[in-house]
This record gives sequence, structure tokens and C-alpha cells, in this order.
Amino acid sequence: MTEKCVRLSDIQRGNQLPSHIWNVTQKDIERFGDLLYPPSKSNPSRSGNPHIDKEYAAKHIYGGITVDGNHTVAVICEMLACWLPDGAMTSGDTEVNITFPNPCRPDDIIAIQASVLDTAQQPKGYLATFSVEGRNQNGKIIAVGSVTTRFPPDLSA
Amino acid sequence: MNDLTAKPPYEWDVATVGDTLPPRDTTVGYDLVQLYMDTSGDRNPVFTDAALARSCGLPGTTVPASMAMRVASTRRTTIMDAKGYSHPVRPTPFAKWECEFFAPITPGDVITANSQLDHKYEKNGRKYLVWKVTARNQRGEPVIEYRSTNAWEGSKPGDRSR
Repeated sequence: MTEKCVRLSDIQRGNQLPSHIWNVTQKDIERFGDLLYPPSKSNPSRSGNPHIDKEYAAKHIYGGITVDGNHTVAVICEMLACWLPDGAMTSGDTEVNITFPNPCRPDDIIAIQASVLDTAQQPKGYLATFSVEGRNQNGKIIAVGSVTTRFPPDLSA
Repeated sequence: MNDLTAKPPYEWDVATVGDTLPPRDTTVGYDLVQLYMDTSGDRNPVFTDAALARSCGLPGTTVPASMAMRVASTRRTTIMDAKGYSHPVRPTPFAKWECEFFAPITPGDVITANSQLDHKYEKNGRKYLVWKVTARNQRGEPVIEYRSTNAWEGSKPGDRSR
């Protein structure tokens, strides 16, 4: 997904991570939905789901299909995990705080940016906090917040 | 979504802080990790390569952070159902996710999750419900705690074009 960073020197306060472009498709939205709300025998078309059912989504305050915020979180976490040393984001000692101020819709083109806010050396490894932000093609912020994660101990040795 | 339309909707006034369910266990099988990889396209090698994962200081292959909502979901529709209500017949946008991970989750773990309505608040003319989930593994160790906020009421002119 993105260029991997394995040097501690790249993880310094103020450093910008390589940005990631996410081309949102309805197909991807539905596929991710197979994880969280798969079709069932009683509801094979997933009617009543705001990310899949267009008619139902039209009742949405946003007036149509929107991306599940969980999906946006997954894309952001994947981006960070790809850039950071292997083992980051799944080692425990991870905190994710994301707000969704505007809807993300099918066919949006989302640019996700992240930068290093802070770092700290700890007995179990190295902690870093990143600011993250996703903007659509119109410049509107669809996700903003921070992620803190611990790197594997051997990196900070 | 479940067909629960015969029950009255779980509106702001009936939503009570502390609404909850008994805990639920979810076994994190490798099939679930595979499903995550297939549905997200995320192919991080620590999900599949045990030797690599151990070299990173992990106990073995691990589960992606963003699977928290699958292995320990809010179960909010079920909470409403247990109270005798249905989900309102309108989407309730996801507004915020605040999640802390305390320990790695590995395939084979059994995650026991508690879900409840944690608090309600109003801001800028909208009403929000905040669901809290706490989860432990089969050893009783805390693994996840998160708060998931939904906008429940209060659409505004201009929302549909945002």
C-alpha cells in the first residue's frame, strides 16, 4: 500500500508519512460489509443497511450511501501498519481516536495524510503518536484524529 | 439488518445509559482473519507469518486492530431488541471511534465482550449516543476498550449535500 519505513530516524516529530489515495467504490464498500454485516438467509440483499441499501440510505441525513466509518478506520490502520515496522498496530499498546465530520461516499477520492506528533521510548519499545486526516476530492475532511502505537522492541534497540 | 419493525423505535427519550446485554464470547478463528484480509485487501504479513510475527516481538500471528468491531461489536441493535425496541428506521451516522488496545489478539483467542450504552449528549443541535465495549481474552486479560458514537437525531439543512 505505502512505502515501508524501517528506520527509527524516519519516525521523528513533525515527519510526514507518505500519503495514501483511497479510491472509494461501492464494490469495496459491499465487500467490506461481508466482514461486519454479511448477507443472511433472512436478508440476503442486506436491506436496511445504510452502506448497501440505496433506498434505505436515501433516508439518511446525508441523503445516500455512505462508507462505514469502520471501513475508513481500517484503511487508516492499514496505511500506518504498512508504513511502520512489521508488528506495529497489532502489538497492543495502540490507541485510535477518529472523528468523522463529513460523509465519505462511493466514488470519492480520499487523500489520507499522517504525520508524527510525538515519540517516546519505553521499556517495551518505542511509542509514537500520529495525527491522521482524510480529505475528499472537494477538500472536505471525512476523518480526522490520532493514532498511537508501539513499535517492536528490537527496532528501538 | 433484522426485521424488528414491529417494535417501537429506540429513540433518544427511551435510550437509557446502562442499557446492555449479557457478555458474548467470540472465538477468533483463522477463518475470521482470512475473511478480514479478503474483504479489506489488507495483507499484512504478521497476520499469516508466525516466524515474522515472533521476530517482531509478537506472540505469533496477530489480528488486525480494525477487527475490533468484528470480534467485539457494539451489538446495539440487539441491545435495543432486548429492551423491546427496534433500531429507528433511519441510518444513525457513525460520528466518532475511540479505541484502546491493551494486548495483541491472536487466532484461537476467545474474546468476551461487554457492550452498553455509555452516555448521551447533545452538541450543536444534534443528539448523540455513545456505546462502550470492553473485551477480555480467555485469560481474563483486557484486550480492547472502545467508545463508538452515533448521531441519533438532529439532521440539518445542508447535510444531504455534505
